[in-house]
Amino acid sequence: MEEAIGKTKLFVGIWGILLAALAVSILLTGLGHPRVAVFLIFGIAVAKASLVMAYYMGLAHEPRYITLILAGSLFFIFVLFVGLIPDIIYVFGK
Amino acid sequence: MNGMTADCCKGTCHAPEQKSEVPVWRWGIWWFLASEIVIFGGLIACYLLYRLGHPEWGAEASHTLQWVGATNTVVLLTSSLTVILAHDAVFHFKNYRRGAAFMGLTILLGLTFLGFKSYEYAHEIGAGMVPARSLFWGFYFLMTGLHALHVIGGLVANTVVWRGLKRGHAVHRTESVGIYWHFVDVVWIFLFPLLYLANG
Repeated sequence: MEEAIGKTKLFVGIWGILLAALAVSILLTGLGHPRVAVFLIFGIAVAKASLVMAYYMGLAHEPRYITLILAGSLFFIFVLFVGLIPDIIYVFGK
Repeated sequence: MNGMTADCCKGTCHAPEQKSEVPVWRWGIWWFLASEIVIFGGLIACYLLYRLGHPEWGAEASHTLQWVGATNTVVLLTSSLTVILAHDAVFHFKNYRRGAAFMGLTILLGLTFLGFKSYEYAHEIGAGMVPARSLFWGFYFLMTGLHALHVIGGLVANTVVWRGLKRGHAVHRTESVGIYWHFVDVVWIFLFPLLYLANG
């Protein structure tokens, strides 16, 4: 029972962290350097998504091959992105 | 000898059945989400590539209602908490009534998200921010619209589970719809900065 109560507290704590991270992201838009702000904001988004996936979706407790299934999908997206970058540079880089 | 008996030497035994530690329904939801990652990931990757070539999209993004986007982010993050508390109540505490209450709250938060989204769409379309205006708005309506459809799908599933919880069952369904609902939340976590905050 204590373990279950501890889990509930963990979930509420993560929710607090997610809301705090959202507030920081919004405050960063007021930063004088837009490019730096964008990198930081996306870094925070990745951290927030990782927290949700690891603890709320339970990926932290799933076998590693489940994570690999999802990583496989992300790999295809990465290939698409990297594969199209030369085209973007060719079209818009002039 | 890996669970085999002496009969193996006589060729009469069968290897012990290999059972996965992950139940079939959870395999199903993870494979489904893997396919969803390709859909949303592909869209986001294309948006990012176009965004690199169109710095003027920053000015377009400044026309989005940031406060509505931020409020909807709070709403979805909170609904993620309530859906996991619903699962927690049922799975760990065997309290179906509490589980149904948290699931009901998740449904209300999902409807709140859609309400804000509708207000936002009405405001933007009324101000002439339609897909024909620029590719940015095409991406905006495509990505947020597809996400809203997923929210509606999640709400239907959550309602079915909520009814099950009120009758005292649907434990595993609570977990599977929860995993899906968290995924919808994760997608929004990326859409919000992409479409609302990266406006410099």
